[in-house]
Amino acid sequence: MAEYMKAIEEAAEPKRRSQIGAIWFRFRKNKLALMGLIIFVTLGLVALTAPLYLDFEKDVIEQTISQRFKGPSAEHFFGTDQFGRDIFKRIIWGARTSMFVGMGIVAVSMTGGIIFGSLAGYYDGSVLDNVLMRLCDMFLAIPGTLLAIALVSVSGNNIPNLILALGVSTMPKMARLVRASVLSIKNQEYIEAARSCGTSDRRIIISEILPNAIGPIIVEATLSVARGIISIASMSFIGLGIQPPNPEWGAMLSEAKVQMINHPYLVVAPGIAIVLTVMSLTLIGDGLRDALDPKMKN
Amino acid sequence: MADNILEIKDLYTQYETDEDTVYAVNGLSLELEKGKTLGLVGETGAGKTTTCLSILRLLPPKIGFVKKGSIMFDGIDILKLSEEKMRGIRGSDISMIFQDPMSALNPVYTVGQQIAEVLHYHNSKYKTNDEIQARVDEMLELVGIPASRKSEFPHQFSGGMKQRVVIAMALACDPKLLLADEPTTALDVTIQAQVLKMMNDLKEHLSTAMILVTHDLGIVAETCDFVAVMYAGSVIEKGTVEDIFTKGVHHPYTKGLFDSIPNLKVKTRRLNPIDGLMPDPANLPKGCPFNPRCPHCMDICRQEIPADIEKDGHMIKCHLYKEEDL
Amino acid sequence: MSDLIYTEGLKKYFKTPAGMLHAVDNINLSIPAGETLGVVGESGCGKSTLGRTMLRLLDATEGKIIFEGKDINTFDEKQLKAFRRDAQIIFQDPYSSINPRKSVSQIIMEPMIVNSEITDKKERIDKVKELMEVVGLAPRFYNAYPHELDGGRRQRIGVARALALGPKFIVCDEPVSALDVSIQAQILNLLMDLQDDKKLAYMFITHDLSVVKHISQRIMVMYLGECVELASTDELYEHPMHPYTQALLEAIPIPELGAKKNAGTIKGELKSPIEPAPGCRFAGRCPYAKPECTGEKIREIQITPTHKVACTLYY
Repeated sequence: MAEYMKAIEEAAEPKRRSQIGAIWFRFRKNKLALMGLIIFVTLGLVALTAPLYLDFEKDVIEQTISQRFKGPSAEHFFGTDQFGRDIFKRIIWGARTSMFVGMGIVAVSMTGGIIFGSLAGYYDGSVLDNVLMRLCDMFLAIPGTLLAIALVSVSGNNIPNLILALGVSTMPKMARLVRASVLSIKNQEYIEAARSCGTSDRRIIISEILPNAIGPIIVEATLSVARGIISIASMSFIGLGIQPPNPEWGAMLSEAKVQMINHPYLVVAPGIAIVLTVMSLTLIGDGLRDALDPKMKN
Repeated sequence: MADNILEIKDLYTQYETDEDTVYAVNGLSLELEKGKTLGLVGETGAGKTTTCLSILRLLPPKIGFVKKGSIMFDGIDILKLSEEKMRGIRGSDISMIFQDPMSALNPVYTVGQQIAEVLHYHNSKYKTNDEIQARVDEMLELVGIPASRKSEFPHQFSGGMKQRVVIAMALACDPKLLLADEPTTALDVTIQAQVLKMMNDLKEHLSTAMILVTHDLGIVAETCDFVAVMYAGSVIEKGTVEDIFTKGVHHPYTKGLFDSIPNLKVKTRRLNPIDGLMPDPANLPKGCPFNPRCPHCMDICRQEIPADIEKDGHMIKCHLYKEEDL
Repeated sequence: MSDLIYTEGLKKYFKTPAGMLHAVDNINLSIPAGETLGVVGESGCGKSTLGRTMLRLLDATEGKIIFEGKDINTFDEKQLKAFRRDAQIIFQDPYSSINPRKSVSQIIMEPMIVNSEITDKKERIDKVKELMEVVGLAPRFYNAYPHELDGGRRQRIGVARALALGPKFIVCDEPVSALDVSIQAQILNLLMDLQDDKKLAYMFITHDLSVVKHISQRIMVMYLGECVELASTDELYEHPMHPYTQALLEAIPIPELGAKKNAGTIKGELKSPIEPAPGCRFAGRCPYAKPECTGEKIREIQITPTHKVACTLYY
């Protein structure tokens, strides 16, 4: 069959990028998205390495009443709180909590969302699809935070429960998204091709459909982390989330709220921390969405 | 030359993306007489659609640029016109119909409304509502659709009829030039025959010049007066339809095209495809762009872009020939 | 030569809110090993549905499909899986028929993995490389992704995938319609060489009468789900009997000056395939229509042993 080799040109190979490479290239060009990524990665690294330079007992929890309500200074970048604790160090430690919880929430909602969503989407129109989607509707009808509060009151206020509660409350949104993605891919010809080779449904979903549906899922996941951080902050704000003395940005805001008139600087640090983290995640999510959009391809 | 409605000289159009520069049109020159039809033939990536978009100045903003050349429409260089004046030309003096009739029509407006809209915005001849409606009826009848259907929506029409509506819209303002980009490719062959026959009849009726972009040499034989064959962004052969279909001397690519078409009359089992592929327009070879695939490739072909060899209106862009050969 | 696959009274209907859609109605065809049956018709004639029903990608509503002596409609899961190795499909659109997230080698290897064919990994890799060579894909594309390749090369991936399990019968659903003319010829030659080499049977579905002539020994013309004419290729082109076949042949633009046509193009549009009235479905557009064309099922008349037509003109 050498004749067919003739049909192949010997021209120099054009610059070839893998799909991931192309996506990264497009992402990089979005200055805002890149900035968001840098900020988030920096925050993440700071949070991750915190135990290396901070001692939990001494820096974060220990109360030094003589130092209370000191404004921002060289020694305490953001000042001290009502117990004399260095706010900056508490913010850093709080980042660990927020990030951990945020990622945990997304892990839960993605796992459930992908499983239920892909089953519902692949067997769309069936009883399974209807049951799953009606369950989702049920959860969607209840405001997320309220649902989480209810779940936590029943099962106890600790971090795993919080993660589970908030994760479950955001699962329906992910499930719907996955279902929509799966539906749109299901009718592509390569799925039919897979079926014509005798591929099992399970393998089709995992190996053929999901890798192609992953784009919108990742974007949603990124934004979910942001929402998760806000959720946990909200819950801590009203006293139901992370319990003192563990630092958490929402809780710190809540404490600062009380002292705001006399010591306004207390609000600044946790506020900025939340805004910065959420904003950087949102920028990353938007950037990813644009970079993954096939229509943006030239 | 005779009364030319369109004269393109040495057109260069590029798409500049972050990754590459795509050399879509490279030194294209074309002429079209008033009222005549030119078949613009080529395969995917030859630059035919880009040429049409360049004429209408509808290249994607920030990406598509005309780098060089002039496009004279009825004596005016339209590349130099302001955008406002250009808008006055689009739709009224130059119209375009696209390949896919399904997406060219807005699904939430009736067919009559869409034709009327063209008249409303692009012409000065039919002013009152009554005049516009009368013209809508006239156009629909002209393309073979009963005027009573003007209050129906696009989804109530079949593919062939939708394309007729699109043609009616394009011709409503009596344009001097119609750019038809593969207007029948998406249609079934019997419907295509109907639409082509209608377009042929219309040609006699109106005095619209047309550029018909197609890859189908059969359609060219049936409907066109002149032919221009494009490859990698330039015209490598052009002439009257007799020059292309009956004369023996051709550009090797044109010959390859003819040879690779499955022929209804000839009984052979194997076909004769052209070896290789159209070059990547971001990465054109040096010299004649066809040289990697040409069975008659010589050393000079790899070095220099051939000049246009012309005689009596038949032009071939190839190192093989001299004027006497044509 | 006995037939590799044949159908008896094959029907495929779809239920729609507006009524029963007769996509495929009462088809009787046969394909011997090593030969091609061309299935020709315009959009809505049911040829794609027929192709998929032949592979049980859609379940037939009625009728038999006999492959190597057994009715595939009665197959259980195990028999169906075995059948899938023998019967494959090549799709029309090279852009949507391959998974954009898989590399060329992964796509071609997938059928082997799914069917536990060749369990040794090294053997699989060799087989993929061999298939790539057979279809004319350069070895350097082994790890390439579809978006890096043009339509012609992608279609070759589709062909390689269809060959991976060593099938005996391949449904080619408009495999060259989306390709440029010069690439079409390359792929058609490839398909014909493969057929000669491996004695494959093809059902070649297309709307392009010039393409199907080269590759088919026999051709079936479909209109709105029914077979209106079935003949050997030569007979169909030299003596088309059904008015629709004649109209189709006339409608093709010929790349020759002055080759055409005074004859009328057929008027009108396709009728709806939902709950069609009994009788000839082409009658509304046929220039020779008579009263007996509607109202009663049209009989198939065998003109010669290799040529049959369903038309009252030949009663």
